[in-house]
Amino acid sequence: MWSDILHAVVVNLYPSHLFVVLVGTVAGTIIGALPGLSAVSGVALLLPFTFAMDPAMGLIMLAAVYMSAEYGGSISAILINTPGTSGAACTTLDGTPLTRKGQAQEALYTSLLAGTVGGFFGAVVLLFFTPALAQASLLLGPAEYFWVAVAGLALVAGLSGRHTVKGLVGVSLGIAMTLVGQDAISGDMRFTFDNFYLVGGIPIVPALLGLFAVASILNLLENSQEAVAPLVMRKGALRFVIDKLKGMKLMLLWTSVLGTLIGIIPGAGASISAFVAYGEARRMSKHPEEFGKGSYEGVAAPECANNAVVGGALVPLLALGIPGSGSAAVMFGALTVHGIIPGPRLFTERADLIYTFMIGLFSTVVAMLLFGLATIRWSSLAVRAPRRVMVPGVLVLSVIGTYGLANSVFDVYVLVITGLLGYLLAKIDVPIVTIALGLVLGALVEQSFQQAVLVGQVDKGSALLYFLTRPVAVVLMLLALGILISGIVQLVRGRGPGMGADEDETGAAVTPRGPSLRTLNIALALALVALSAFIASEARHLSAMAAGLPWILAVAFALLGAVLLVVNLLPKTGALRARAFPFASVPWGHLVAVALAVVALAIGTEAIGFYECAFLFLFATTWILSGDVRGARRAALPLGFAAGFTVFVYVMFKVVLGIPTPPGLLV
Amino acid sequence: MKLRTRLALWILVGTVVVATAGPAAAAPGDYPTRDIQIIVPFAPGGGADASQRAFNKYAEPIVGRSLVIVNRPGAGGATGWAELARQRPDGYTLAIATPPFTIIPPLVKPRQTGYKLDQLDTICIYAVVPDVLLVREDSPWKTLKDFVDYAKANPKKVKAGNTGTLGADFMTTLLIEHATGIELTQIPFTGGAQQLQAALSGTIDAMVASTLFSVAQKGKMRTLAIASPRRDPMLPDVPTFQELGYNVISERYRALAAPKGLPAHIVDYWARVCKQVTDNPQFREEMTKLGQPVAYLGPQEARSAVNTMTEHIQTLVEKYNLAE
Repeated sequence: MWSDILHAVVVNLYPSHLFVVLVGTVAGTIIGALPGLSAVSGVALLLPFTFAMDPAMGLIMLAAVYMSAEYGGSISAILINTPGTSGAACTTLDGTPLTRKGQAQEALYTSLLAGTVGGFFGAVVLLFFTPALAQASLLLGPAEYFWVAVAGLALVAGLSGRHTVKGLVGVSLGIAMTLVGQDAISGDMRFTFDNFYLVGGIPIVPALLGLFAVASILNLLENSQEAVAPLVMRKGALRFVIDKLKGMKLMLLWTSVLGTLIGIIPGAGASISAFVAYGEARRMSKHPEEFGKGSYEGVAAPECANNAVVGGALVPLLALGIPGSGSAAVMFGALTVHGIIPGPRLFTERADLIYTFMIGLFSTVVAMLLFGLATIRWSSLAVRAPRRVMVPGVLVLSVIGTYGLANSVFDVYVLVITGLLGYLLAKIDVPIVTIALGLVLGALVEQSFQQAVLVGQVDKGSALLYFLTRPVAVVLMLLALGILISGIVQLVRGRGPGMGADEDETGAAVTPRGPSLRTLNIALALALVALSAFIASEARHLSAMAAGLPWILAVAFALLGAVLLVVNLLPKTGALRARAFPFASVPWGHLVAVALAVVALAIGTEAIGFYECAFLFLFATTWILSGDVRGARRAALPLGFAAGFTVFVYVMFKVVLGIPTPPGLLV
Repeated sequence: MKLRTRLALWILVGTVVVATAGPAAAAPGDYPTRDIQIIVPFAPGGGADASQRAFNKYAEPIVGRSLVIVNRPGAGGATGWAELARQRPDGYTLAIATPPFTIIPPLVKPRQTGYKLDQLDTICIYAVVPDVLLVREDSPWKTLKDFVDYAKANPKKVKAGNTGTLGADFMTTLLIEHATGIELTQIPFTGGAQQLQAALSGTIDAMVASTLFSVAQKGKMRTLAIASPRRDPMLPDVPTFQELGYNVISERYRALAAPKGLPAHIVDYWARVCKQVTDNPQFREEMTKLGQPVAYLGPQEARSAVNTMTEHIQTLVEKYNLAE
């Protein structure tokens, strides 16, 4: 083994290997940072280039893309509240507040260094413990996956802050979105309305992007400042961050372990690990109250975990031939093209390849670190971009990024609809991240439960017995309950007697008449009751297996709606909410214009072509948002930006990444 | 505002150019005059994607135009084929079809499938991947007979994994149950990786998969039988179901398909391209590495193979009452 490792180290120092690592890292960081395109799309995009390389080299390049994309996703999450990859959804929670405080650079360094720690840990585990861990992973079955998913859902309490009821609304909505489509277990169609686009379900990445990116961009319209956020370029930002991280050694170690272990589970990946790590960091922290307001731990934990996933996801791939994630699945494909089929004999028959690849993973971590260090100064400048170009720019990138995922205009519609929905829900204090949590975990929790029931009935004669007689499952169950209870305890302690209240403490201006948060809450409550009735009426037509979760959700929505109604209709608690109106400072003209323009962009993409529409969209929205500009620049600025940015997007997506778009009039 | 006028003019000019450049009805002989889009209804990196990319690599020099792959994943391929069915049959949009995946949705969920079977034309088949029945190496069942005997004595006690109810493995498992007279409990998973993990970890006892798994998992998984008319060169020791007295044929095709109504000369054109590509030893070697044995079935044979498969699936759908 040691001679294999030594040989692998030498091979990895060849200039050709270093070069492909560099290419993969640059590509991965950029693809990760672009909204929409995720780690797996980056790996898939670079796959064809590996066909001409020797297998180890090709794999290492793909690993470099995978590794750095997980970091790249945090760049846009931190700077513009837009998770570039789904694994970075949690990073927005504290990354964005830090950026608002002018600490974008520090937040980026935190993400990079924590990611390096996680990536390094995952690589060490992969190198030394692959066979043992792969064997251990075979102890897991549907019952264990179910409790892992439940433990993840139990984090909702920690993620909702003061808005507990609305956090539960959010997570239920997220889970409800995963119901749409053909149920893999029963084969039943649920909530597809005979529309074949819905048969495949609501695609997760476009939905997450809508909820976070589009919603937060629309929010930006209220910002009266010229730039997105202030940026203070401090000397010694790096030093400061290193000192911060030194104070969280234990937390970084634990989130690395969690990330690696979750990576090993097929079907669970970067996003789930990030949620779990965030929850754990909050639990371990001496300052849990800072979470959500700009905590460095809140940035470090998810980023550490999502990079640790990389090593973990490769464990079952190399040892068993089971890809632990979407990106690992593409690597499986890359190996088969070279006539190497990953399976149990790969380790003994192709030890040279395996060790070269494992050592190469360390190069990818180092390259990610160096490239990050070299570019953070520049990438953080993005927050200085004026609002009037940032809003159109990010929207166009989100649309093309989403389209490029599956060459699907339907996905763009999902982006736009979830974006508008996310904007409205965030306005009335539904924590968006809880919707993301439900969306990411909904399918895992339901399917593993259904599988456990089927397997349990054969093995033990009853599903309950199956759940209770598997030792690992019992341990995980206790863990999930522990998280749930500690969440409730924290809540009760932090909140004291005012249970159920989610008032805005700042009080805001008194508006005795007209619409208020109270009105909106009542509207939300009625909408939830209607949703509950609708789900229940559909659930009656489903098979028992497929109807279980819909019924649970129907009951949950009815209860949540009732609680919201009571709280808002009672004179005392209701009056508190009647004081604020979250839409008071919305520039309606701009909001409606931009929202309509986005809808037009989505529709026009198919009708007259993406680049044509993007140009018109950029011009129109920049024009609308530059109302304060006078003279010749009034027209020149939007025109120049629209032309320049369209060319940039064209070069980036069409020429460099080769993403096809619907045929348009000109391109 | 001059700039805007000029822009409008350019758009107008562009429209006219594009409109006149597109061939209204291609005369024989002048096809293809531009690049051809090939829809792959699965994500990049999978088996179907890899084989179509290999096919394109050897077909492009013959065609002399770019064959542009458009990955359009969703609903197990159904979204991509629905997309194909909506295109004009002018030979500039084709797709890879992978029966039985292409056939099942319109048969079991006609209302929720965006195409009907007669809206797609199969041009040719260029690879045929047989299904196999696998159990763990440490399982007590050494032969198909052991397996069938046990399952007969213990109805519904053997757990077989599939990658989605009403999917292709699900149908093959039903076919095995139907032909051998056994009853299994099917446990669905959401992908090959999850299914394999469940098999190796003992959550399930058996699984249907493509031959690629047999080769990759040799030593961990035992292949009991192969569902093709003849033995596979990659697995010479594995008997066919037919040898053992059960009429189970279940294969996955890699085919080129077009929207219905493709002109005959374009069908012939692609049949020739297909023949040339499948005759190329380098292509055969590359596909063998991917675990996708090359075969050539021209338009007639391909169509009748797909029809036969459709009939077999229809029989299962009726027997087990699977259609909605």
